[in-house]
Amino acid sequence: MKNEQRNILVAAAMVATALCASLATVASATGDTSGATVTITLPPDARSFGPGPGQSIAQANCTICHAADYVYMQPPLTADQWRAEVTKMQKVYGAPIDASAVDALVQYLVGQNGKQ
Amino acid sequence: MMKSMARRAFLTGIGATIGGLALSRADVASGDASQTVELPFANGGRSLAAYPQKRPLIVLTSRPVQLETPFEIFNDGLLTPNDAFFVRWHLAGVPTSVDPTKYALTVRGLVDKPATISLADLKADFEPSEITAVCECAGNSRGFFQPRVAGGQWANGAMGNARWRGVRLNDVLARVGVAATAKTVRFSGMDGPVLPATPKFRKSLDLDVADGQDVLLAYEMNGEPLPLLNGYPVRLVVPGWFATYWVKMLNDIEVRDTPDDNFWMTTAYRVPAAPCGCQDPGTKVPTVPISRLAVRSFITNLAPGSSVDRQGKVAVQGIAFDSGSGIAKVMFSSDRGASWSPATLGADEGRYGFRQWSASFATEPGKQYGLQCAATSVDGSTQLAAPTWNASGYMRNVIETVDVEAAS
Repeated sequence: MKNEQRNILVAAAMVATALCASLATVASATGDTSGATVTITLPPDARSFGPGPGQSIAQANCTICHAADYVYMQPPLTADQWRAEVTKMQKVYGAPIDASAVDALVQYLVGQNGKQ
Repeated sequence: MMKSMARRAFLTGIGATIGGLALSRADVASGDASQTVELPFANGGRSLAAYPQKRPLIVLTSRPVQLETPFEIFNDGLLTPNDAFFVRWHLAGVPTSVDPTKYALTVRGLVDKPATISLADLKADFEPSEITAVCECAGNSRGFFQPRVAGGQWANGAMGNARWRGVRLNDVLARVGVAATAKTVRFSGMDGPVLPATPKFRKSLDLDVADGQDVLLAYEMNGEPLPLLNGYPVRLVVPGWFATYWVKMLNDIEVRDTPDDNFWMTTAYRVPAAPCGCQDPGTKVPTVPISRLAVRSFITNLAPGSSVDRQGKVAVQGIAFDSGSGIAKVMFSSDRGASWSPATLGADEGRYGFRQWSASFATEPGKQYGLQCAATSVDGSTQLAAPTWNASGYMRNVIETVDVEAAS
């Protein structure tokens, strides 16, 4: 991805994050300290997966368990490092990623937040 | 207090970049949604958001929730306020509604009299105990590792110091009667995974650690019930040990005679077995479960990039802590470690808690200063000038540097 495109995407994502954050401020907690039930409402995911080939694979698999910010907060990772993360999600956490989709998912993650 | 110029350098917002809005603590406290912060490493852009029972904190991830304490809050006092305390969940199945009258703690396994204990009984049947202790995430400061490692990219705010009140675990274990064959105790909470295939979060302590005087089942934090996101209604408090063992929403204690073979003990949260807990990048080394905190110290009243008085004596304030032996001394340097002088230690408010320290240095107009602090614990461990490294980004305790400049 060219730097300019990347910057635009990052800026768009930051705005999206800020919009979601405004929802966070209206999330509420009820209940008190005297033994009543404590109920909280958590805000929706602060970030979603950006456009690119493989976006739907990430959306369908990764977001079962976690928001997309888990990917974007990482330092830029190599394809091998992203592959290791995908493998961990499959083998340890039981992510139902189809074996035929792994390569495309790794490429997508490198495109979103990768390095050589 | 941090100077406003320093705060502006530390916090940046979309509003600030568009409209030149000056930011202040009041903006943060009111939950201004446009607040963002740029942590000083690649991909360090974060939003600030007020989650339930929390003031605006740095959002590391939104699901599962991970929130970091903005560092300047550590300058406000030795106890970290509940609404500013960092949050870290591993799995997204966190109950969002907890009825404390239905809370039940199961104590089972190799015990004479297995028990299920309500919150009311926990409070009524056991002597209350209080301890002030630092809760620090194993991966606190991971974002500063070089080379970078994957994982939660925290700056230095995945820690907090609180006054915990609850009952002693060893009183509860004595009540149920631990079998002579018992070796370990395993803890788990009310949270769970999204997928059944994901290993539930469980942690184990050796019996001699779990049965120590200081381990608490805490139902209060700084005089209030715990915020839900910090583990309401009861969390394990293991003073001097990394936060991974401080199981939140604790509802199951299992006494066992075998080592814990679950993922969270055998694969996750492990550090190199060498005493330094370190390894060279690219190497594979034997590992052990992470355990006790490493000694650390921080400057809290000056952020990196601050502008300080152009000519005079500048006061520096900070905190230090270790795994519970206590802080013996803190040394301060204003020249990047070339020369050192002892800082003045504040009152000892508990060997497991933050210890305040203060120092000062003289400035000349336009000159730059690399401020450093280095703590030594009573047990003799100290901080090093060069960072150590491990593959999971745990236990950072290098001497940190805060660069400031005197106005010209």
